Parts: sequence; structure tokens; C-alpha cells
Amino acid sequence: MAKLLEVQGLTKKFGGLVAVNDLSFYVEEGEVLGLMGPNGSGKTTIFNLIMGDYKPDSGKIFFEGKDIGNYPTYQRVKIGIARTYQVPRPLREMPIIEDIRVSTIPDSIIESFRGGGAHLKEIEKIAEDVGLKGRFSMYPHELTMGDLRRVELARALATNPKIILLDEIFAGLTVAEIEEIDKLLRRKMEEGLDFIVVSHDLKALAPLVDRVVVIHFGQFIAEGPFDQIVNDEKVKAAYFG
Amino acid sequence: MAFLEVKNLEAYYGKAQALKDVSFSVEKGECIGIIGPNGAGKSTLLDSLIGLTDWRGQIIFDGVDLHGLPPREIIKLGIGYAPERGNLFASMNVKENLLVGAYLARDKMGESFGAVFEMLPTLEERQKQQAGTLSGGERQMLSLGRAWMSDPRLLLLDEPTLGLAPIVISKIAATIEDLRKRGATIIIAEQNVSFTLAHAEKLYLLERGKLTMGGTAEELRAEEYVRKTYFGV
Repeated sequence: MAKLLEVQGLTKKFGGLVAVNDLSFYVEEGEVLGLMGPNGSGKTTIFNLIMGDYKPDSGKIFFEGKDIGNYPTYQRVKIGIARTYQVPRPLREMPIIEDIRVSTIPDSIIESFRGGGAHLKEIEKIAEDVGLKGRFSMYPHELTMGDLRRVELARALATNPKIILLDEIFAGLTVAEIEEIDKLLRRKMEEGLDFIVVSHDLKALAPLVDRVVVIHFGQFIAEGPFDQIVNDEKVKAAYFG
Repeated sequence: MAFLEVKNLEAYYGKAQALKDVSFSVEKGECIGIIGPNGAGKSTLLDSLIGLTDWRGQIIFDGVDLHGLPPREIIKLGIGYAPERGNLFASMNVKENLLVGAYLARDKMGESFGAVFEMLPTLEERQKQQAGTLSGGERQMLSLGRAWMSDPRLLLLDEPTLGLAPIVISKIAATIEDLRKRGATIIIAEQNVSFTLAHAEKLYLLERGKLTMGGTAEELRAEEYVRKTYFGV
């Protein structure tokens, strides 16, 4: 399988703190990668680097073999990378259907004048697909955490991605909601979408991922299938205590 | 009368009713768990106890009726609050956040700093670090520490394990046990039922704004509905 996304020797420092330290890993086409590590190990920083929110101090990021290090965030989204956030970030003053539509609005002013994002019908289809039917005109404060996670997913899906970086997609959800999101993700995998999944909910993470990369203090410590990883002594010490 | 007595509590956000006829009591030194799905009203219940909602009914804390009291007066009476995800002052450093927590209990500030740094040594090491740059676990610790700085007799913890790795949850658990040894009375609102069962001697199940079940950890563990809905077994 070809590598879809790859980071090589990625390093990011915040002052004296090395948040990501010479880290390399990849995701193959058709693969779901788990990214594990204790809080503060650099998982979200890695997502921010891949999306171009942060500029790395050194290292490279490749997508479909192309070095995307100089791409601004909107170009990374255009070529097929999307993400969700650990704490959902809805546009609070908008009905959720409009919020989802915002993610499809063109990044160029000229393009915006030609057409202001996807047609509402297309957005409604995406919203329905993630299970938001009947709640299109609701505002974020009226939704449960499960539905806010669905809005996050819908916004990512609306950009027509090849890979989505999922940051704690199961956090704060009930067992029933986790099962529903799990089903949705599996359906999207079957449709050919790749994911990098960050989650402390190992019960939910285990059956989803093909392979796991574990980091600690921004550094690579282990890699392998889930069952092998959770029995690794270094992982046990860093993650389970 | 119990240390905290909640009777027929109803809370509203505009016209929407978030809590319906909620009644329970907490004895001094007890640890109580409020479990339930998101949107059930757990945070609203804690917000009501600290005076942040429009509520009806009765809340009596150590003999004092809390109705109509602003949060600062309730904190002065001895209720501390560690809200969900900390709600820290991101641009302030760790020490400044702790100082804010101590504002209404300034006379005991030295003692409180000593206790917080003893329980959470990470906070002492990172006193000068900006709160916004802390990891999820460190933020949760700072939130706990800040609540303890107000020298509370009743501590409200909202989702203390949300989004945390097992190793960090163990540290939060150890801190809660340490707080209990120091005589704290605690109410934990959590979706992490296993965590809550391990710490609380009495639990209440809150669903759609109503307390639908209550009992000891053993009693709730034995309930098929709780096992199925909250453990998935």
C-alpha cells in the first residue's frame, strides 16, 4: 500500500519545551492509525502541525508523496486533509446546517462571489448521513455532546477529505453514543476514508485501528497492532502507570 | 439536618427546564457521585449549588439557605468548584490562577498553597507556566488546586477525568483520596461510571434532569440497567 500521509523527523518547540521531538510515522492508504500517548505528549500538536496551524522547527510532512510543508491550512484541506477538535468548536450564533456549510465556502474572495459554498441540499445530505436529521436548524447550545461531535464530523466530511484527524472523538460520550459514532466511522472507512484517531477510550479505539503509534514527551516510543502495544513495557510505564 | 440538603430543585435556562424535582442529601465527609449521560443536567446541578443558575426549590448548606445568594457568598460559606475542563484563566500562570482561587480565603492562603503543592507537586514545579499551555491532565490538576485554594468544606468536581489518559486519571484519583483524608466532602459529576464507583460511597443517576436511581456503589453495580447503559455489558 502507498503511504497517504507521512511525517519525517518532525520537531516543534514552544520556548524551552520540546512538544514534538524528531517524530516520524506514516499512514497507508486504506489504513486507520491510532495515535496514543498520555496528556501533554504532543498528540494535538502533531494534528496542528499536519494541518499547518503550527510551523515545525524542523522535519517534513508528505501527503500522497508531495512535500506539503509550505502549504497553508486551506490548501491542505483542499488536497484532502481534515480534522475534528477535542473540544467541539461550533459557530455558536449559527444553526448547525449553516455551520457545516461554512466549511465548504471557497477560500478565495473571487470564488466566493461565483458561488458561496456547497448547495444547502448537499449539506443536508451530509448532515443526514452523520445522523443529524431533524436537528438542522438547531443551535449548538441545544445539542448534546454526541451531536456536537457529529457536527464536527460533518464539517470535516463536507470538505471531501481523504483523511480525517480525529481528536478525542469519543470523549464525553455515553456508551450508546460511542457505538453510533463507531458505526458511522466504520461506514466511512468502508467508503475508503482514512483516519488518524486520538482517543483515551481504549475500548472504543481498539477495534477501529489497524495499527497504533505511541508517543511520550513528543517522542516515538512504540508502534504495532493494538494488542501488542498495550502489552509493551514502555507503553505500560508511560501510559497506564 | 444533613451537611447539604437539596429539596425539589428545579433549574431553568430561559423556558427550558434542565432540572426537575431533584432531591438528595450529603453528610459531612461523604463522597457522592452524580452519574448520567451528557445533557442530563449534571453540570447544571453543580452550577445551581454554586449559584450560577436560575433555580427553584431548596438548597441548605450547613444550615444556611442558599437561595438568592451570589456565587462569591456561596464560596465564602465553603463550597469550592472545579468546573468541567477547568475553565482556567488561560493567559495567567499557574500561581496566578491559584491566587484567584484563594481570593475569598486570603487569610488561609499560605496554608492552602502548602496543601495544594503537597498534593499536586506538578503545580509547584510549573508555578510560572501559562495555564493555556498546560496539558489536559495538568489543567485538571490546576482546576482542582484552584478550587481547594478557596478552603472549601464541600468540593464540587465536574467531569474530573474527561479526556484524560489512564496514568493521569490515577493521579486525579490519588488527589481525590488525599482530599478525602483531609476531611473534604465531595460531589463528583461524571460520565466515567467506573471512576465514580471507585470513589463515591453513594451514587445518584441523573437522566433528563431527573434523579432516576440512587444507592451505594454495590447497589448500582448490581443494576442491569446501569451495567447495560453505562458499562455496555
